[in-house]
Amino acid sequence: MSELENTSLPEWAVGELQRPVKGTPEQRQRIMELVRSAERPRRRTTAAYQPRWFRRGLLSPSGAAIAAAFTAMVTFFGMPQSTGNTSAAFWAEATVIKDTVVSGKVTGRIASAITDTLRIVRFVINAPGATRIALVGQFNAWSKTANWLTQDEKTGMWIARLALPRGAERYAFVVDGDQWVGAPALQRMSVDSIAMSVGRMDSI
Amino acid sequence: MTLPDATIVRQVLGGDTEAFSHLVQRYHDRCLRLATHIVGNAEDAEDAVQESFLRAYRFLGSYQERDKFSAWLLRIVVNQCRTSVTRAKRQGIVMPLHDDDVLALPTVTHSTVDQDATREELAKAMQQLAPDQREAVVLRFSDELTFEEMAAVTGVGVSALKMRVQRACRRLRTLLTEDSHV
Repeated sequence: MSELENTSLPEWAVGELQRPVKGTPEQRQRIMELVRSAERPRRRTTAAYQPRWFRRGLLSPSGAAIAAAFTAMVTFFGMPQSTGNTSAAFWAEATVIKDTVVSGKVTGRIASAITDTLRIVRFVINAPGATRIALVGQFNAWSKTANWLTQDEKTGMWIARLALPRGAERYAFVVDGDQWVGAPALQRMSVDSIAMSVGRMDSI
Repeated sequence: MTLPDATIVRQVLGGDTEAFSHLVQRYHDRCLRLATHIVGNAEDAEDAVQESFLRAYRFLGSYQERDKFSAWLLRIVVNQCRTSVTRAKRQGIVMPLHDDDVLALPTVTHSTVDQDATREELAKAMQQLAPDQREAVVLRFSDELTFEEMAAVTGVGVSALKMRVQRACRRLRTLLTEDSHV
């Protein structure tokens, strides 16, 4: 028996299935009454579309295999480095390395005064794709050209070491001349608070 | 001039609720025929279609213009019919179909005894099909959709739909032959 015969019905049955069914004006009116009293539809946001497998929370066996392979690759080789300059990729930290080194020749009240007021702070920021980064803060009057970070060739991190006075110093990074990183979150941190914790600053 | 569906959808989403009546006018009969053949009685079909249009309105924002509006709407109707059939089963409602329901289907030509008999015979045979087969047969023959269009409406793969239609046709031919009609 051919496929056509397998998927065919008697002509009269097909005709019966195709016979128009007429709705009444009252039925349509009732629908519109319900529509008028319903909440207005909202436009779909751009993020609303999700593939069917995501909506159902299911993966086909092949999809699961691909996901497992991708996870294994990320585990062994890490995520590929982004070349874009996106703020989402930034992270930064500031670490008090030590109190100011005071020469042994300087003793007494002067030495203790210097030690007490200056600390060497190491600033590190990871900014993939950046070409130049400046450190700005109260200590340099928010100058975007006073203190530049240098990029470590091995790690790709941007680093600066500065001797800064204790106190309410606030700072931020300026990436490529116009992108401020850390403001306002980093600006609220102070070198003083770094000194108190002596170590890693909270993430931005 | 007939406005495209997508234009009407944009009008509704823009705040013109009354524009939705054009879509109701345009697709009500088609949805009603589909629902009538799937759920098997006029009253439940009317409820399913009414609920479908209401859902279509509420979720109109999720309709994407790259899709055919009719396919999107029919998908809602089919889902609503599935719900109706499932609910009827849980409640122990025997489907179908009272003869009154079959006879109550509107006609476009003069009704004769023969027509009523064939209508009743087909309706009874349809109700003996599995719900998924009945749904496939209705979409294929009543709405004359291609298998690809049916896949878009039902969310079922083309090959599975072909199998359903094939089995449904075989079963229907047997049922109708038993009643000595072919």
